[in-house]
Amino acid sequence: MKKIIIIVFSLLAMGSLLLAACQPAATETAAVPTSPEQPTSAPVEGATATQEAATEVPATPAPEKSGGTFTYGASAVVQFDPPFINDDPSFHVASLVHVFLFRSILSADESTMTTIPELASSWDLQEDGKVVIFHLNQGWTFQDGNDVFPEGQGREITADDVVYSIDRMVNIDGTKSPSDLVGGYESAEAVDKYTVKLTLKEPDAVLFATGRGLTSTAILPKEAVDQLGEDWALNPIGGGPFEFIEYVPDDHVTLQRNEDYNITPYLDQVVLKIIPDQQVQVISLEAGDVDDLPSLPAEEFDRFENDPNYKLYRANCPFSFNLQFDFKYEPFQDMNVREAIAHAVDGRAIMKNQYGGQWVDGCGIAGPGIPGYDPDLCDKYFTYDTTKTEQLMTDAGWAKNADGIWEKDGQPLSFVFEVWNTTPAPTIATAAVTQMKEAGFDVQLTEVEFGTWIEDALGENTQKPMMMWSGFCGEGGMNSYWGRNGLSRGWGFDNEEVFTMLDQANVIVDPTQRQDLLQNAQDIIYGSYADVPLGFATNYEISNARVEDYIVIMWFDNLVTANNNVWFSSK
Amino acid sequence: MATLEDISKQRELKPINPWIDKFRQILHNRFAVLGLLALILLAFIAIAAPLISPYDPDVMDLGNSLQPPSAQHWLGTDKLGRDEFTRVIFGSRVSLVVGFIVVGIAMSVGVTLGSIAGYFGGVADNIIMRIVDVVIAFPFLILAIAIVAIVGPSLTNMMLVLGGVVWIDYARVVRGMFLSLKEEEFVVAARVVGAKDSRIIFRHLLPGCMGVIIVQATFGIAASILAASALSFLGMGAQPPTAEWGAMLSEAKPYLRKLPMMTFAPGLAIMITVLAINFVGDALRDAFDPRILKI
Repeated sequence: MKKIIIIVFSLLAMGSLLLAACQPAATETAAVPTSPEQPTSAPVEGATATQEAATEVPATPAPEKSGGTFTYGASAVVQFDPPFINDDPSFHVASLVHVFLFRSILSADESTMTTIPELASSWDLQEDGKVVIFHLNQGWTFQDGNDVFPEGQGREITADDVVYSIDRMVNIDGTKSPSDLVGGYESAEAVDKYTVKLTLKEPDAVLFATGRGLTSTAILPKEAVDQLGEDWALNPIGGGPFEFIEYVPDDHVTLQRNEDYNITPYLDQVVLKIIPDQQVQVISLEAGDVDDLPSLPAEEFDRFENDPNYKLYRANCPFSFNLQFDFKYEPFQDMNVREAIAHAVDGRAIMKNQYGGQWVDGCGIAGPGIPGYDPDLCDKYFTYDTTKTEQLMTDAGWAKNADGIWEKDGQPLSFVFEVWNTTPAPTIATAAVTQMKEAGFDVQLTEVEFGTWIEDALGENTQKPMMMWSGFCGEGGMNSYWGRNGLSRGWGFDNEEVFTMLDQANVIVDPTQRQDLLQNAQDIIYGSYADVPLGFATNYEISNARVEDYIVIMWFDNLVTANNNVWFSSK
Repeated sequence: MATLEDISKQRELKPINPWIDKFRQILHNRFAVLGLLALILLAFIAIAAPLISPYDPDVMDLGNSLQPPSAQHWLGTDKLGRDEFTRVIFGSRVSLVVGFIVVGIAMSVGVTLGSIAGYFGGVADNIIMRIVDVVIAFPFLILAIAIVAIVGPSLTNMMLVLGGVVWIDYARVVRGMFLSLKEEEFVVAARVVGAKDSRIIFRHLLPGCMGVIIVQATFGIAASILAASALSFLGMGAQPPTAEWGAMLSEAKPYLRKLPMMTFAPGLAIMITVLAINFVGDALRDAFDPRILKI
């Protein structure tokens, strides 16, 4: 019997070796460039001018383009009530089921985000931007064939629905509505059946910016919210291009074409398959089980970059990875120590190694293309220079002990660095920790589950001397992180000059003035080494090559807009 | 054919130390010898790791990441450009240390409490065995994950938690042996001549349990190495940049298809180590099991 066991193990081991040897080289790919489909017309500019009607899209789809089920691989969904959505996949569902006043999309040259009308055919800014008048399309209806609106009885969407939805988004307890909207909102009123007047306390420069202001305010039917009660969050009814059919927890969400939408979608159905593991998502894409993944893992980028069987869509929102100091930890109250650590970590090399083709050079929180971006920030403050580290630590009164660890008054500079445990955060953190250790800092890296990390990051009394954070890529991200009510307050960041500048930036509509103000604020933040920025990376969405006319941005799923209507080139 | 009488005569003529006898039996088992040799080699690798490994396990070479096996890097490099062969070698240190420390903790606690429960019986037995029942009611790994999640992930915490969970196996075995042995005549005799409880436990009962404890401990080391690798794989054990086989497997997961050697190397290391220990454990069990009479 033992012999048999040994033989089986030997065969298994040999089989594994053979499999390993037979793997194709990672670089064997065809050199065919891929790019997302371009919008067919120039989108309308953002918040600074009266908006005009969007490009005409045929209301009746061409028969040869109709049909098919578009399948996503999504890590998880939670619930679909817009004010409480906190994750991308859930918002993907909401952005397909609901109608919005306008939608964010990528500009024709893929360089900036812009807005195109949806329910609102146009809008005017009045009183220097304190008042916005939305003119609604007539004849748009909520979806029918459900518990609230029987088949053929979908109610028309009117100004009252818009007022209700904005009011609910801002005022409901526990809302995740963007802080600029919550802070600046004064009132919304229906001027007539198809006109809405939104009044703000101050002009809001990011009211139309992706992820900020009104962009995530879906227009909801009040009677559906009231009638469905607790069931509403998992049974959304909206006026968007797809109707909600079912959500089987931890398995899938099914949506079907809304025949009554202003533009008839080419796709029959949209299915979100719940696939928690990123590697399994990639395997599902290659097996043809899903058509699209909202986020291609960085380590797979090289393999798909030039593969003609797939299309990559670059999200125009570079997100950063940063090492955050907790100012409650006494040694980090000394700027020399913070600066010394900043010079001990080679952020550029770490991020380039991790992200390869997805890496975006730069430092700070506002990346290239985002207001406040400063191309000189890395070279100005964050050069990799361990000689400087030695000098700064010595100047600050620290000396290395017998183990090569910085020490002061007999106390070694020893601290915990907390990071969440999903790829690629641990790898990036490991690289940073290795370099800090080499420079004489005794760092203990601790990987925790994401929920624990969030709790620790938000907890005011939590003392984690160093934590990693990532994200805040969009317009207004700087305010969300470093602003008066930003996340950094939990780590003891307190700089009235920065808060004032960011408050002002929120209400200055002129882009040049805002750029200067945000750039100056960022210079103060990073000039004082409030954290160590490692660099930026860009998310790529990936679909198989048969997906046509897709315009991708983060958070939203724009399968059907005034500028595009997704279809399959082969069924 | 030798009769039992012949054998007893032979033994009377040449009295043999029972431990040497067991050792001889083990040496007659080819798999056990293979396992022993593998363990000796592993122990040597672990002790001499800094001398035999070509690189520092933590030194990164970011411009040289994810390299396939080559003359410079026998098992390739990982995402941070660290030499995979070096990290597998250093990983043996962590795994063996974890195995022995976990079993050390578990044995200390389990044998002590098992002895108390088995020898004294009554309330002490009731309390200890109900605690054992409670701990045994939870799936072992899930309980370990839950506790590590509460106390925080680290190598030390993982070893303490694993030791604190697996002690029940030793307690149950020792208690069972004590219940049986304490009724034996030699124990009764010792009690009659006025031997103290501690003397009876340490001089008469525990030596009688040593065989079973050793077998249990051997399998325990293998199980601990596997459990530690599983916890580290889940991010609950050794923290980066420590070279630990389970953690290395976790780091290799995204590159399973691109660079399978990253997964294969630590996986094979775990398999060989656990297999070697189990071979030795099997032979020890055979040697100490009174139901298997070796002639």
